[in-house]
Amino acid sequence: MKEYILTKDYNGEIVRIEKDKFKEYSRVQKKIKSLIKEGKSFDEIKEILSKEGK
Amino acid sequence: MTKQDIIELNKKLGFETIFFNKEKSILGYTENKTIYLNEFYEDKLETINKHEILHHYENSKNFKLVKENIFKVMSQEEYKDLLNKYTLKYWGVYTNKEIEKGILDTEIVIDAIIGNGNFSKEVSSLVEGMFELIIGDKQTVLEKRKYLNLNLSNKIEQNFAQATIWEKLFVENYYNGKDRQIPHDRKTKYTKVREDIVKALEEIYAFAESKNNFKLEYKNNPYLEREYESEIKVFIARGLKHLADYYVNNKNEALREMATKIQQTLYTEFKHIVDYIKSTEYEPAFKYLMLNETLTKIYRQEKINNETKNIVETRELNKSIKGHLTLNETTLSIIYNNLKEHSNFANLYFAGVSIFNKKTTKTSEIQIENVNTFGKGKWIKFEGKKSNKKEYIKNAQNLSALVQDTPWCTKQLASQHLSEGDFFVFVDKDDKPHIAVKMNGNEIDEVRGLKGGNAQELEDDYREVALEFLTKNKEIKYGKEWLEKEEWNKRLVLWNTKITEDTLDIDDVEQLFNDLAHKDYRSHGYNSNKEDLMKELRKLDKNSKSFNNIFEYSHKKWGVKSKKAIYIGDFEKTNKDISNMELVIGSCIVENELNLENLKAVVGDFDLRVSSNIKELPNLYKIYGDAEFFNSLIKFLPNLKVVNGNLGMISTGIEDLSNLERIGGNADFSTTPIKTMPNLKEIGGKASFTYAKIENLDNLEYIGGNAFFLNSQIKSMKKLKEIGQEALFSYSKIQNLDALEKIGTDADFKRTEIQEMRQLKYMGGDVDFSNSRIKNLENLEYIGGCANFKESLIYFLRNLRHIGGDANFEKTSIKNLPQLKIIEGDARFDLSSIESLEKLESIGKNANFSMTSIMNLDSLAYIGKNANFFLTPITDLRNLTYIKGNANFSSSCIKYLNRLGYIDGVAIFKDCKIENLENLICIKGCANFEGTTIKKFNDLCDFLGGIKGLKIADIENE
Repeated sequence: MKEYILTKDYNGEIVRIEKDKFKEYSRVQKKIKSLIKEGKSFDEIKEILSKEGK
Repeated sequence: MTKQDIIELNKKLGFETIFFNKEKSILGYTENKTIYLNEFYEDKLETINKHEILHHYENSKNFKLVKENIFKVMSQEEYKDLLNKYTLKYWGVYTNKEIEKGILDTEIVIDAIIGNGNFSKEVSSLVEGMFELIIGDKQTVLEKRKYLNLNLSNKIEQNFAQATIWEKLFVENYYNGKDRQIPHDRKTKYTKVREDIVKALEEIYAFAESKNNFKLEYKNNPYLEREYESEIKVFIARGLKHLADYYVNNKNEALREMATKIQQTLYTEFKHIVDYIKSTEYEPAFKYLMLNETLTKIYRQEKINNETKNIVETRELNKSIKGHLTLNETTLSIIYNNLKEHSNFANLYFAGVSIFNKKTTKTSEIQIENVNTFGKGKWIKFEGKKSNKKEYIKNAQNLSALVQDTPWCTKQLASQHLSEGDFFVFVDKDDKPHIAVKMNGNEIDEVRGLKGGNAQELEDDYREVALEFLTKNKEIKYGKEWLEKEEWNKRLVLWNTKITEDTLDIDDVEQLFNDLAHKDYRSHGYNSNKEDLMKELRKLDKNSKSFNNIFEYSHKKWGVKSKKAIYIGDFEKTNKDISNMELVIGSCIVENELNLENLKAVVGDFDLRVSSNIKELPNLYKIYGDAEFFNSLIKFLPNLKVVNGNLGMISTGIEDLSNLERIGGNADFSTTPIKTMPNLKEIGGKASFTYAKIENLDNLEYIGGNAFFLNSQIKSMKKLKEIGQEALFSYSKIQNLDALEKIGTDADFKRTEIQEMRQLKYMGGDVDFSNSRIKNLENLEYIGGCANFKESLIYFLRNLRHIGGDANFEKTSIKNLPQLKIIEGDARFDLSSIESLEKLESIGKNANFSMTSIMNLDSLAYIGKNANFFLTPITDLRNLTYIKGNANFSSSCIKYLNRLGYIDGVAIFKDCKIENLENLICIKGCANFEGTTIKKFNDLCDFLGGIKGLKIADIENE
């Protein structure tokens, strides 16, 4: 059975994710936050994240 | 939502709640039916919790329904933006397949419902109450819609971060997304909201200025109809069917009258609240929200299964008749300052009410002389319009607040009740109300308790408290009678049921007879419940169980021989002959020539008129009602034992009532030739024997009312213990009242022969023994009014402690009043033989000690008016501290003023022996010292009215 936790996304809003994915999730969200700060658009961020994922 | 609210909500849904605060990055999670919440995020706890809960409901039917509707109102553009946002939000969490299946939609819906993030107006207004709908808590949905909403959405919190909390609540509650749109413009939104607040508040102020706004519809108004129906029920229960009939036959008129009265009180009540709130310094948003709440809602508490529930209804301005919220200094301050403690306005409001009640019960307690509360609590008085026109609306608010948690309608109709008279509430030691007494002028209108829910009867534990209050409170007229009437009415209804169901027992019959003949203090015998009962009795089958029991009872008691000898119904001259009757259940007016020699008892009044030929009623034992023989030919009533009501014997030739034992009401034997009543024990009411021939009533023990024996031949009533009211014996031959202990009010023994009343302890009113031969009243302790013993032979009064009015002992030979402490009026001891008043502490008015035999005044501390010590032999004033009027010490033997500090009037020290002013602090009038030489002058004394003839001796030269 999957275990979930509630945490914050890049925007400080509440999200519910699987407990096991928490560390990776936090890292990615931090990255998104910094990319937004840099002024990147949604498509650009998506592209960066996709590349990183590969 | 407070933490407690969250715990309770989760509990309802089957979850336990645990708060933690270690790991900041984790907001919450669920483990084995326990929801863990990070209390570090105190302001977001509710949202975090709801998010978690909704995930547990994401597959429910209602969730799916809500989801469907949200996406129906959501524009494609908004959805596209949200989808982009949620892709980033949940990056790496869900697989593409899961996303394709719509898993992000679920997250969007949950966030929309709980206000996590920004959503369009369309979505925001749709999701209101959906959380409760999904979790199946319909009541919460309704409550949320009814109450002033104190739960701010995240959106309002964020968008109006610079506003005060009450301004945010204004935004939350005032704007409806239709004709009232939340201002969004970043630059102007605060100004716009503040303008709206002022505008809305001004509108309410203006609304309160016109009475027309409060006009009630009297036709097709279900609330008014309900009140109208309940009025009718009350009339019927009280045996006032004629009033109920008037209401039924003139329904429109009655409804209109009621509406006029209620709309006036509702208007006054609201205006009072508006005026008060206007005068306060609270911020406009708060003022508006409070006024709007009371104008649009009705708040009350009800006990349901022993639990107090808050009920909120929408006020229909032209229909609702229930009163306003209690919004005063205390409740407003509590509401304003305790917002964080309550998520629900009703709880917040009633918390304020509860604190306010504690204040009310503390400050409005009344002490009523001689009224015992048996240590069970205290009486609280609320003055009505007649007693306190200025404050009665405020009092009504306080009253309404105090009785919230009771079934009494006063909680909603307090102003109306107080417009008719004062109101008393008895509260226990925890300030919980138990008895309500509603007045109409100085008469009782209603007494209510808590027993039997809506029956509102007195609880057994508080019965004695109510009875004590109703019978001994001097402010209340007919208290005891009111209570008796209530019980009488209930019994009449009970008998009616028993007759109809044919279940009347033999043990019921005596009480049934008493109730049939009873009259209440107001309606002189008419009572619709009694009329209805008589109708049923008349229909009674002679073979029925009930009739049989009536017969059995009368047979055993008076030897009634057959059922045929029982007549049920009132007998008047036009009725059929009752000659052969032995028992009449009804009243009899006997005017014609009848033979009533078999008549044994009358359950009603018996009136023998002058035109009747009846001289003898040889077998008559008992009359349950009044017995009037005025001017009749009656000569013999040899077996008459009891008359429950009044007995009138004036102008009759009756001389002997040897068997008469009891007269329940008044007895009038004035000017009668009555000579013997050797067995008479009790006269419940007034006894009139003025100019009567009877010489002794030696078995009489009790007279409940006045005893008038003026100019009578009465010599002895040696067993008489109590006269309830006035005793008038002046010019009578009375000699023996050896057992008399109490006279309720005034007593006149002027010029009587009586010499002693050794058992007499209490005389409640004015007492006149002037020119009497009274010598000994050795046990008398209390005289409530004036005491006139002038020229009497009084010698023993050694236990007298209190005289409530003037005391006149002029020309008496009494020497000692050793226990007397207080004389409330004038005290005349001039020319008396009294030598000692050792315990007398206070004289309320003038004191005359001139030419008295009193040598000292050991304890006297206060004289309320003038004090005359002219030619007194008293030398030392000892404890006398204050003379509130003039003081005349001229030609007196007084040498020492001792503690005397104040003389409020003129002081004459002319030709007296006073040498030292000692402790005298102030003389307000002129002080005349002519002919007196003061040896020691008191420099500290203020002579406010000047000094005349003061001569101070040169002590050093002496």
